[in-house]
Amino acid sequence: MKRVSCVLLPMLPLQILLRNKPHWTGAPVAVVDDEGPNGRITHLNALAKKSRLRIGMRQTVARDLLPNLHTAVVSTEETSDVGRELVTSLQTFSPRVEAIDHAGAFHVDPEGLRRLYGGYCNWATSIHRYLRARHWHNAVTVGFHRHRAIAIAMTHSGVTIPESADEERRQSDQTPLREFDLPGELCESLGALGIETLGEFLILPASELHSRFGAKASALHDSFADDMQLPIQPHAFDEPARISFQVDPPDEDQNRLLFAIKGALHSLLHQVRARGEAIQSLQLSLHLERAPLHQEHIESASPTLDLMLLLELIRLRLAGLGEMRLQGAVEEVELLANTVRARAEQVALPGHQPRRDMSAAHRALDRIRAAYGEHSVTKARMREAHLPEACFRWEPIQHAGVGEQNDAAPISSMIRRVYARPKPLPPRKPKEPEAGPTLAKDHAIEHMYGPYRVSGGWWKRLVERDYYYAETDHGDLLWLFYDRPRKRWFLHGVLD
Amino acid sequence: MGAYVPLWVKSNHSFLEGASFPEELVERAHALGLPAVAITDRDGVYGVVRAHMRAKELGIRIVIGAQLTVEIEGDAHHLIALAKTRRGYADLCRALSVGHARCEKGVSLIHPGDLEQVRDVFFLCATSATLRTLHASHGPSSLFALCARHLIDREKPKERVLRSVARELDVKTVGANEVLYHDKLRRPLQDILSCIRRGKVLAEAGHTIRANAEHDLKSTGEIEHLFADDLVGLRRTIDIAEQCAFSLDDLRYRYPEEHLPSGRTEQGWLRELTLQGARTRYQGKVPADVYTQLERELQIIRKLDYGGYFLTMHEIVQYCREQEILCQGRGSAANSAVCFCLGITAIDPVRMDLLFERFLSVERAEPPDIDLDIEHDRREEVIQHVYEKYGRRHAAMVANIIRYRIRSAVRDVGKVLGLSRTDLETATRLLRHRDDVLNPELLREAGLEKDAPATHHLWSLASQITDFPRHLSIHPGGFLLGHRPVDEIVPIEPATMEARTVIQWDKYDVDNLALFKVDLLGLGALTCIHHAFDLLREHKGQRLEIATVPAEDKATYDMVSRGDTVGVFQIESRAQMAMLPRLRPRTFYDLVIEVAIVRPGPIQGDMVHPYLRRRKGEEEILYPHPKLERILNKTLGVPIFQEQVMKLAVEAAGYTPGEADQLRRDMAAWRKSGRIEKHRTRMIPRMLAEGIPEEFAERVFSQIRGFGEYGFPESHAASFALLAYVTAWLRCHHHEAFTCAILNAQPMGFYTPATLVEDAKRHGVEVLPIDINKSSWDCTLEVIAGADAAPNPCAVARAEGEARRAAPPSPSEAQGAEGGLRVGVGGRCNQTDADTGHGVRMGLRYVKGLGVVERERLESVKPPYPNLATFVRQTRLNKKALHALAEAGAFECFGLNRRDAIWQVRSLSRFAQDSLPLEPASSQISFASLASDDQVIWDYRSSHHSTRGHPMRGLRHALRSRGIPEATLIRGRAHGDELDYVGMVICRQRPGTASGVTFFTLEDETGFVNVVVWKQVFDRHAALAKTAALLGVTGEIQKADGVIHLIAKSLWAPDVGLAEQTHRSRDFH
Repeated sequence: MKRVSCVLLPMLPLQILLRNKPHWTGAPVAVVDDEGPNGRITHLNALAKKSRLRIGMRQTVARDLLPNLHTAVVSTEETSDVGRELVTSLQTFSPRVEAIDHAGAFHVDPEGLRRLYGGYCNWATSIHRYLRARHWHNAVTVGFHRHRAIAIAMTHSGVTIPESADEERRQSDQTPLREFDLPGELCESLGALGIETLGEFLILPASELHSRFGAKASALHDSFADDMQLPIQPHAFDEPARISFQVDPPDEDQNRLLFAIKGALHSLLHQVRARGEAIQSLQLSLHLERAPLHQEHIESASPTLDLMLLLELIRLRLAGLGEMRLQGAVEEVELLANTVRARAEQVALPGHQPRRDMSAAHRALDRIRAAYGEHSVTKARMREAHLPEACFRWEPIQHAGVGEQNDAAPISSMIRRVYARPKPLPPRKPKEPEAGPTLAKDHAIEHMYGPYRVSGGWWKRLVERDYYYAETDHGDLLWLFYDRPRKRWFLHGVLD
Repeated sequence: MGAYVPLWVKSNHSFLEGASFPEELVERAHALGLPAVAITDRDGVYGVVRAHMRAKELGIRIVIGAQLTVEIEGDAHHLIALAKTRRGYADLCRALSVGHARCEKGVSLIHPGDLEQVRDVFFLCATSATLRTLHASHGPSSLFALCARHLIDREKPKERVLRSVARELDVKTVGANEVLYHDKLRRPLQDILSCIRRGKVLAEAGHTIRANAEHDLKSTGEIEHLFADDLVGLRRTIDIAEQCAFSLDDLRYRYPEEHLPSGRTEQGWLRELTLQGARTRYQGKVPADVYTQLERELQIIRKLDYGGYFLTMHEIVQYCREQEILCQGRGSAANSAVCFCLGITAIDPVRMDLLFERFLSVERAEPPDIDLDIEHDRREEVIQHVYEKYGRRHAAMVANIIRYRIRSAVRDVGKVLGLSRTDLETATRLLRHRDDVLNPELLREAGLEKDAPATHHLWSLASQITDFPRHLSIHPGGFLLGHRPVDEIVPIEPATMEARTVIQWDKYDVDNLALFKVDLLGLGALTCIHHAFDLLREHKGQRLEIATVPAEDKATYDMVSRGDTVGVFQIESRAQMAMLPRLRPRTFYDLVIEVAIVRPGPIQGDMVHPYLRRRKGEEEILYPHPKLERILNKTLGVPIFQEQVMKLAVEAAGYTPGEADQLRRDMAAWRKSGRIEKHRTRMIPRMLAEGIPEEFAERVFSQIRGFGEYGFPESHAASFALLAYVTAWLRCHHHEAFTCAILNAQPMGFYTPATLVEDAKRHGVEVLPIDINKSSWDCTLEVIAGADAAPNPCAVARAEGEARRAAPPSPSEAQGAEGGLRVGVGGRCNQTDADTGHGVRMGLRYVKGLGVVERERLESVKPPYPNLATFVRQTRLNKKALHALAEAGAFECFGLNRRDAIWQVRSLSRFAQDSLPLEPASSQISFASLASDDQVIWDYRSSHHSTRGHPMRGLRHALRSRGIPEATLIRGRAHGDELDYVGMVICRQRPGTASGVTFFTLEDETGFVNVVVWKQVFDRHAALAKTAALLGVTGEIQKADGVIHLIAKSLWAPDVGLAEQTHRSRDFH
């Protein structure tokens, strides 16, 4: 009879939390689903349980009982990331690994590896030790039934290898139902009938379950039916698409290199297309003769399979090196593609073509980025604030968009050009009264308009400025402020 | 003479906008030498009374107005309205009421049409749109263009446009800034308030907060500098203020006139009703002293012209009578013989020798305060009757202004400062059991970095914001009624609660302006009494009223003296139960003292022990001064009641009646630190000068301070004592009816339904389980088949009592009934009244998960049901409700155990909506029946009680084998014995006066054990002490005066299996 194994890392979110915060070990710790007072506890360590805290308790109640309780949220993304890493790790023990719908549980196919390890026990122990060495608490069961193996792992630590299917059944029947991540209400309803363990649950007639207890109960029951067992759905190896080639003899001519890259890129695209994916970005690694490795990251505005577009971006990037040209001849070229699932482009309906060709804009921006660097394309994002310099922020953008036109905003005939950093004006001489600002030589202020007072930021650093518009004898219009805490004048901009 | 008047000033009663109290603004204006200051809160007149009271003290004038929000062409504009005259103020209030009525709570939007009829008001318009709109309806004479200068660049162009429109319309300009705080130092707090209001974090506040700190109340020099180019506009504020002559003192309040029978005057009709009531009260023989008192009171009422108020109270009481709603006046009204004869109160003040002047006096001339307690589940009927009778414009409820306490302050301010929610939550948790002062150390304990600027800001700003108004809520029962519409006195707003409207002032404002208020309060004890009377009438043919309950019943006092008072109004708490065997009440007046003595006032004043010693004859009754004997003789020389403290102040400290009244007000003003303290310097030296010992003087003063928190006047204690006596009598003689009634009146009182059921069972009452074919929604009385007579509770109680040492007669007992109260005309308890075989059938209301909808469905069909399927089809209850009933064992009448019933209802519920009586084909599995102990646990889980047994019963064998006794055996143990005890926690209480001691009441199947847990022990076992449903205690027996306490040395979790969900304690901190 074929064997199947289950590797379970119990309370994975709590384990993740304690790995992130090792100094919390030895203290009562709980994972909560929200940072706020109403966040509910999802996982608890033994110390917290000992202090009478319970899963499902609100954080506010728990803290009332145990003021020194440590709590944090572990996001599902974080758990998924760890899950992916664990799959990769387990793939070193078997090519067939499946992450299942229970946090921290994996099916690993032990078949074919027994001889290599000298038996299931050695194989399972290797996995257990491997994970334990990385500070993951885990249980490994090598059984006969996928779900029964999980059920055993839920209640047995270390390695468990039932002798027979009957033995596996006996052991798994003892597993409490609450271990199966069932909704609390369902557990309570079944508990009311005196059904606390898997064995008691499986005695119930399957046909009556759905109507009485819903789909989850029915699905759980079905999953333990012998004839409903699915084979392991192994996780695909997550290898990035890559290609490399030797340049022999080493060469530094960009045209020849581009020509060679074109051929490799063609193969790479073929490989990516075959996986149903498209290239989001490229990592170009140039191994140089007697010089360190040179790497470039090239990103397109949208995932693409367009050979010429990618080649053009590489060309621009290499050309953009300018004086910082390669420090040696290229010995080897390596292209690593970061890919995403390809999406079929919809054909635009006739008559609904936008007047602006946004794809052309994207191409243009791609080329600028390729030529001048990743952060060379930015836009100003307006923000609500009183301080002028806080009213906008420059943000790099990937995609061009049609700008929003604000028809309501009045258009001033004057343009205020604001300095990125206010320029301090010459200080007054000691003992000279702070009557007004002093400009550079042969410039004098004829009129001042203001003040307009801006103050705030007391919670961080108090800012208190009196702004003025100043007209100089040369007819220039300046925008000045007097910094009250610093007792000094600054030029913040000019008007034209 | 100041050169301007600030006309646009918002206090912190502009909720979450203004950052200074009205008093602070007034004080600042006075300090700056300004002749007047306007108070123009946002969309209301919330802060004007406080400002007015302070202004009167300082001699500065207040201009009363409001900042209105007006909708013009779909945009909201602000507009300042200032009342010139009483008429203008009334119009303004009405417009605000209309604005609020069309919006949700807390928001007002006035339409220009609402302002068309508003006269005698100046409008200051800050936008050209409002200027043009109001110019069309009011012309230029009432309008001003409001030019505000806060040094913001956007203001100048707007002002240019406004001035040009003003010129075009021939409207004058006026210079005024928006004032939000009295001092620039409050700017950070104003920013915080703005962020709280908009739900923003400070770092991302943007334009939510003001651009600068120019919203302070400026000196003349500063404002003249700002308006240097338009001093005329600035001076115009003085002209405006002078023309706004209206003051809150001009509010001439008239109480609504009742519909009088033809030919009767208000006073004449009141007199007629009073004398008629007197004849009924005294069975036609009104004693001379009562008659004299009535004449005196009627004379004062006539002089003060308060007749209408008494007629109204009488009308409300009559309405309650007609609707068979129990009600009873309490508070100082019980000092009035007129109230007694009108049926408003139930206490005879002449027989009780109560002080009428505490209620009403010509010298004080302030409105009487009558609190009317009404059955709590029928109070809404009375409230809606008042609305209906007087109309929505003539009656509105008084507001309750919700203010920041330190915990809410830390939470809200911390959130705005962007602090970690977890840390804030910890900080607020730590604050729970501490004083209302935020100390920086506590923030550090909560995990906040001590020296971080954010922590410093939190400490400083949370302290500043404490006591700031946060939002308007509704007073529990205060009504403002008016002859003229109430909305001419103060704007009326819709409340959150449906069909309620609320005024913009709280009870302190109403008191300060001497307006009449009627308090209609809900009281669970009255509901319980009413239910019990109904049950006695229905099942035993015995008709009773509060007044006809047999008075001075020995069996009742015996029961009370044993501290056997679970469920008895006011004397059921652990502290009261511990006091009762010491005080051993034998007369009604003893009960009055019992009610009043277990209060923080007498406890903090160390008055309890001297009183008990003197009562037992262990201490000589001495009076600190001969002239105090008259005041203190009723209470053996120890002051216990509020009136006594007032009289002491007059007699011993030379207070004038006016000063004594101020003392009473200061005592009543909750937690207003300083208001009581100022009497110390006045009172103690004067008492010493009168030859009163310093120690006594200090003790009296500390009691006064205690009264500031919770003190009872004698009349109030007497009103409560009456209800205590009635509930005690019911419990003593008709325990089954009493239990049934109190279970139907829940939630109320001190104990859970489970404890009430257990107590009834211990007293021989049969309590029957929930049964779908026998239970109604409420609990009912049911004749017990085969039982001619259940054990007489009185007899049970007597039997227990005889086993104890007989109580020595108390001084008041020795005085006999003459010293007591005339409660009613009934005779003494007739033992033959005892029960004749009724049990309590628990009602479906106790099944957890059933609500209003389920009640309607259950009551729409008449039981019995032949089988479960028929029940499901006829009631059409959903799966959850059916499950709940099955879990509670309600279907056992169909021969189904609970698990089988659960399995069946889960299937049947799918067919509940089918009209045809088709039963689904499904396999019936038979589940094991529950064990006896499990049944009890299930009962608790599904209905919070069990009629089948006590959860501890199942553990008794195990406990006994370990030598752990039950509660009844503990009574026999000697003082100083050390023992272990295990019981279910039914109550935890940590009174503020107990220096951190927590009192636990533990229960087992035989009774209660009171456990005293000192702070160190509690802290050592904090988690267990706070959460355990079943608690083990190792401690020492302490016995005194028949009262037994177990002083805990350690707490532990018993290692016996008991589901934790069986029980929930009631915790009081």
